[in-house]
Amino acid sequence: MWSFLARRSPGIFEGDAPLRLWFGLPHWVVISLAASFAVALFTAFVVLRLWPIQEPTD
Amino acid sequence: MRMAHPGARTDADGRIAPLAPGTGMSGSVGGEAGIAVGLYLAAILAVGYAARKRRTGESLSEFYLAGRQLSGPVLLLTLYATQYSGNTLIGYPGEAYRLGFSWVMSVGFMMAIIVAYLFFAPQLHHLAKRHGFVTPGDWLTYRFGSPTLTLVANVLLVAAISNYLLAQLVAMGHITAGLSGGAVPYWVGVVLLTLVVLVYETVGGMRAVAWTDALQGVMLAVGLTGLLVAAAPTPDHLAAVTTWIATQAPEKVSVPGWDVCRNWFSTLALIGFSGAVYPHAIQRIYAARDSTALKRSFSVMVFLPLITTGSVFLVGVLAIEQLAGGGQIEPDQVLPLLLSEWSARSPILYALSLLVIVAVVSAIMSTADSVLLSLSSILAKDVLGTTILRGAAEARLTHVGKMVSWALVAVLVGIALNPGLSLWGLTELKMEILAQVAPLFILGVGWRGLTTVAALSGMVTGTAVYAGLLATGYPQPWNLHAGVVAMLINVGVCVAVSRLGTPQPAAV
Repeated sequence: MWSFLARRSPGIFEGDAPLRLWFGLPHWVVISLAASFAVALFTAFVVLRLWPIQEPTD
Repeated sequence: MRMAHPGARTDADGRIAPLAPGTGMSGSVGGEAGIAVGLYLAAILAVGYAARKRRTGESLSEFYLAGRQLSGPVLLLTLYATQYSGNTLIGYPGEAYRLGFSWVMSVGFMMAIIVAYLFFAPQLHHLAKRHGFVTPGDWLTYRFGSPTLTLVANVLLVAAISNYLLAQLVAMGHITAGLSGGAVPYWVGVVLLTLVVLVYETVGGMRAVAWTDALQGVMLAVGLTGLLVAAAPTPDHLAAVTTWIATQAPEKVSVPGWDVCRNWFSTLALIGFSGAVYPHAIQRIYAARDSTALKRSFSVMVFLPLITTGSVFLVGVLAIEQLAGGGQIEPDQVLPLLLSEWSARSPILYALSLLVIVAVVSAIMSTADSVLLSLSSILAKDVLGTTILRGAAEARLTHVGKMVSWALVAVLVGIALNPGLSLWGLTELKMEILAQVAPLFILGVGWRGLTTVAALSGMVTGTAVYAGLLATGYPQPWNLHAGVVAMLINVGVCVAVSRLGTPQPAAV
């Protein structure tokens, strides 16, 4: 999960790239927000499907 | 966290001064905002008394954990309202205004907390149910069986969240003074809002706090909706603003460098691990009715940063163009100035601005009440209950806990009335101290091999390293937070000592 979080960093893009607008925002911002959404989706999946229901043993 | 407020500017010393007449946010707005806040305060007091009627006894778990009966929706809203403090609504737009689009990283901050929960929350919830944990210290005593370790951890927890509570009290004063255009003094705001929190908390405990948090969470969501409606960021509008920023301040549009990103990762780790072990957050894990309630609330909670932090990020970016030409603007003044502009445009935007103001007050109070309740439980049960009140009945400890709340608040209000420290500094200090306690929960739950000696050694070493880095003038070595560096060393010591030492029977 943490590596996934790290990959959403804007730093993976080139700093001198020309400005490209997606939905009125710089493209790397949209990609970053989309990656955040993906992290949220994956986390929700883990919480709902993979969290243990049964009690742990002492 | 120095709070600003509508209708006011800060001077060079950070004191609040009313806006000059004609700036669009005059005394009449402050007066009506005061009425809105007054109605809101009356509503949460009523909710607090309603919660009291549902009380079924005077046990510690009834008072501090609402009888372990928090349902999914209430749990979600109380976590939401508690995690997002006034700083989210005031500070975050200011940072987006100052830094530009790179502040998009803030969307991940609160998400990181839920990710950190993945490591330990479900198991901790089960164990809390089975063994009747009330405080974070109960888990530590159960897992490690060391009064020394529990004491050291509690000292760090209390120190950290006392700072947090103090920051909320100061924010209450600034907000109230601002809303009234300076007519209501700062000290009255601190005392009045704190008194309201104390009253509903004393009468209703965690149930009152959770129910009022639910109301506050709704207010926060409504306020954010108001922000978005007021800002109305359509793609065309955003494109025009982004192009303008690229022309006027290209550094605010460009991709941040690796050194900045490294600091973002450090912040993500710091907030993720520290925020997950806030004592009041741990107690909400204990208080969940069942695993299903916990899972449902967390699975929704993880999406809320996209809406909450994402909204204030967009508002802050839009402010770069909207507030251009206004001279040097402090980040904390961005939202108040935007509200000032919006409220002058139309009655609808004026009403939305009032909603945002109430949302800011809600955010501050919801954080303050949860932190105060948690502090009270630690001091009453873990400190007094194991020393001078050892063996006392739970009803007695609950009663003492209420008195502790009042005494603690009296001390903190005294400090808040004469704040001599940078509150933002106190807030950062809080997170970095909490980071040294995080391995006790995350490793303690997930790794049976962690020994008591290793956990204590790691925590003490991490705290010493953190203090040493601060004392020697390295608050952010390599652009990483000193608390994160210390936490990594803390974990390293935990692993090394556990591997080298004699294995001990694990409690989990």
